[in-house]
Amino acid sequence: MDVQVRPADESELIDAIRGLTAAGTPAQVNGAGTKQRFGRPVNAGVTLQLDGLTGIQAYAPDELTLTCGAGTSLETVESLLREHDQELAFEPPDLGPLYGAPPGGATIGGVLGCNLAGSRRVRAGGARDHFLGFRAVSGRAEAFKAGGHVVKNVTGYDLCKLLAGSFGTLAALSEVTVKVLPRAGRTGTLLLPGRSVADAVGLLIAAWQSRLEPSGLSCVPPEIVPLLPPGLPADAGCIAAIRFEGPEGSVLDRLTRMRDQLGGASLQLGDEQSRAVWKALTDAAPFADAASVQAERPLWRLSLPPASAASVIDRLVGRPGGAWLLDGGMLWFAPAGDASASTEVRAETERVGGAATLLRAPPSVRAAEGVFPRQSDGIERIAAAIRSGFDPAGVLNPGRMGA
Amino acid sequence: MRMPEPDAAVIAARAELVAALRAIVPGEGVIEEERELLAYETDGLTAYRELPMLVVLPETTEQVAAVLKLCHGRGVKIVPRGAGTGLSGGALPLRDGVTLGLGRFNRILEIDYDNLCVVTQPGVTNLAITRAVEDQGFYYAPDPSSQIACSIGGNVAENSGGVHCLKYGVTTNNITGVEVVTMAGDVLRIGGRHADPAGYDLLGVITGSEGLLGVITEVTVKIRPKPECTRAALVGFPTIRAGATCVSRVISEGIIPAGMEMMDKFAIEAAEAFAHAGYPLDAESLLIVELDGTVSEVDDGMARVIAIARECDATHVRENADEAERERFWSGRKSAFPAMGRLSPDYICMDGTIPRGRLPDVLDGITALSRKHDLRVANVFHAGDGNLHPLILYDANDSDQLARAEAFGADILKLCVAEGGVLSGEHGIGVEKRDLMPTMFDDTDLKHQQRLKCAFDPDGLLNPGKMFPELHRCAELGKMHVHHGKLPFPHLPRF
Ligand SMILES: Cc1cc2nc3c(=O)[nH]c(=O)nc-3n(C[C@H](O)[C@H](O)[C@H](O)COP(=O)(O)OP(=O)(O)OC[C@H]3O[C@@H](n4cnc5c(N)ncnc54)[C@H](O)[C@@H]3O)c2cc1C
Repeated sequence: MDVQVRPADESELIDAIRGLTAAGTPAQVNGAGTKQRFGRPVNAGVTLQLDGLTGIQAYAPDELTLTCGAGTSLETVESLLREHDQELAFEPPDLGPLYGAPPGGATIGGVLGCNLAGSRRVRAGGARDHFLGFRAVSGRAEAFKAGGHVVKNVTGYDLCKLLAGSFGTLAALSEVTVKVLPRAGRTGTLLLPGRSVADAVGLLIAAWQSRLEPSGLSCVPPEIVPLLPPGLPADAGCIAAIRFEGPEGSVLDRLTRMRDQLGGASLQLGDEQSRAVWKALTDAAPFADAASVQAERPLWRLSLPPASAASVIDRLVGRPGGAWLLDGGMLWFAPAGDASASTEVRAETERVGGAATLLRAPPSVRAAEGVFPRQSDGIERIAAAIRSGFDPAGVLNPGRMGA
Repeated sequence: MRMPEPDAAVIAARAELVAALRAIVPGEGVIEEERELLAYETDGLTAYRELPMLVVLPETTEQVAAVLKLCHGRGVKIVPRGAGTGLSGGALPLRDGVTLGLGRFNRILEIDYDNLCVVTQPGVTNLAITRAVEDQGFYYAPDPSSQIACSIGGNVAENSGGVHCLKYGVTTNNITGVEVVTMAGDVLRIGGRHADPAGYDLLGVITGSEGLLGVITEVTVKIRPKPECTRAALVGFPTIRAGATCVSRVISEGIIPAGMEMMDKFAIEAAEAFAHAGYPLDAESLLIVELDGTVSEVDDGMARVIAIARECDATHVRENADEAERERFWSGRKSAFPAMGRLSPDYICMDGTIPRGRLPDVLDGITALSRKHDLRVANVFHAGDGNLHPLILYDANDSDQLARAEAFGADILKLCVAEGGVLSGEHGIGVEKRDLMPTMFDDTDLKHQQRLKCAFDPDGLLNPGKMFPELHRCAELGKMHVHHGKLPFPHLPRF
């Protein structure tokens, strides 16, 4: 029998976790639950649902900070920011649809807990880089806080970093403070079609090294083009897509100069088409088709040293084969024929010093093969010690991040 | 300054330890002569001094691991040390401790332009990284004022910032990997040349851990292409409030300057007398606003900044005509410290952050405190991100002045916290602000922080006496108090 507990405030959250620890009952910890199938399956009869901890507590646009309940929906946060011409610069992706959740369901706490960032990662950093402070309840059923409400702070250990990407295994966030920034303004994209993978990656690196400050660098193979919003040419070969954002004049200026610098055939996307395409890239939308979602077709996300991407793509496409999409240093990869291809993918990623995460797969595969990359024994020991310090009874998402 | 009780048994076994250390680090790498130890007795916070029991200067990660393992086995405390420029006493030695200096880790290991990163040893100075890549048009963004001297390992340990961190972030936002040796001697390689490695973000927690979690033996930093265009404006205001309003307006209009620095009248006068930077002496507050990016973007942004400044009643507005003038604008700000050194035998540089909107009130508060403690103070200030650096002038030979300076500093930091800010924006807690931690964090908060420490260093041998006012034993912190009796959710399944 599945029990759902949905605290409405921090004291109810404390009570809930106290109940779990007293009973020795583990819980699946969710924001709104859109990504609950991200991670190893958690064997729990209780779901601790945190989307009742809502509300904007403080928002001072000219301080560049926002504080809200961790269960506040990302949409609420983003629409408030939009009213003030600001945004979360790390471009939080909406990965729920990869798991069959409706779009736009995520909470801000969930995005931070999974440390998710979009295509602008290359320029603006990840969710971790914008996470300034929090209140949370650890597996000890104790409320604690860390960080602060200001943009610059080194008081004590940076526990925001620890909780970003901890997938609810250390503490349940109740309130978060994030850095907000002026909205990027206009968007434009330079498309360089008909390239080999190696050429396209080379162009993206050249763009990244340039002084023109691109905010999105993607390599789109021809098979993926039909799965993206319109505007991309359906040529043979890959498209190197380079995004610029900022005031209109500056975007146009940089598009032209980048085109001249890189040479060869090119096209440009205007503001509206650019936004749609990059939203789809950020959300990995080409992998969210109904059949793949239904079957939980294995989908990997590889974080790579950017310059190694071409060789990784080359070797993975050689064997085991499959569909891919490169977004910054992040490679999305769905192996051919519904296999997880864990051995090949992990070996290939380790070869270049990257990290591979099995973002989607059937529960049995996630349970058997693991989701997150293997770490060295020394790191595993520290991680286990951190976990037993924060959640000694093992009640918060036990097993989700590893054995 | 209250420090952990020295361990008499450790001190008694000093000679044996020296022999064992020499077997690991041969030659000059183990220092035991008092005359030589003196060079390590303090860091940038010179008010506190202590002679270390020994200093060891290893050259390789293997040596660091062996030294730590040895000391771990013998229960000997370790104080990591980079260049010793820290301003919160993080590298203050312990009488029964070994100071482990990373100065010999002074090589850049690899420059990888394709992945826009540099792999370096921790003893390399911050500026040396930029120097190594600037001929190719790149730089390392965080730029503490101490950048010619401070080590990149120390920057990581303190999560240091600089004048350009509003736009480009502090150290933690600009590194992707470290190699760290734990107190037990385990070598951990964390992160690499890619973003967001999965698993707990140990890179993120090592950064800013002030030498309490591990010894950093290698760092991978991100480098960036140098902006095409950099331009600065010098703006003087008739009041502090007008300057502060201008800062807020710039940001709320969507402009994120590369740097936005503010100085009060006393700081302006001192800096001008020292550096002849062309600062307006009739201004009550002065801003340096620097924009970078493409030429068209900087043109556009600068026009808007200047319009805003005029609307905020600026009395003096000057854009740099050439690169030499831009450097002159900065020369005053960057010499604020030595300028104070000419006016007073000693000064302490405080470091707190406030919500920027509170600036005028906080400065009024500091002025009142200056009267209360009867000491002069000059304010320089990373205005963009609300990071205050009041410089308190005193004479260390007068013990009453030192005590007043410390009390004044503590009062300023308490004021920052009371106004919604924090104890440190970039200099760290160290010993200086250690005892103020409870003004910001309660016991439960601090215990959770220390549980992180316990995961890395359960015996508390790495840099003890820093950051936490009270060290709980890890065994005690590990206990879990289960609350029996009435349960709030009686319907939960029980096993
Ligand atoms: C004139 C002046 C200006 C300054 N300006 C700025 C500024 O603008 N911004 C700013 O942020 N700071 C500034 N500082 C402070 C200081 O320079 C920084 O904190 C710097 O990062 C310290 O580096 P360091 O190598 O000198 O470290 P140290 O002072 O030697 O050590 C600092 C701390 O780091 C630890 N540590 C050092 N190296 C390692 C290592 N390899 N592994 C583990 N732990 C280690 C030490 O134990 C200690 O706790 C300034 C200091 C001075 C004197």
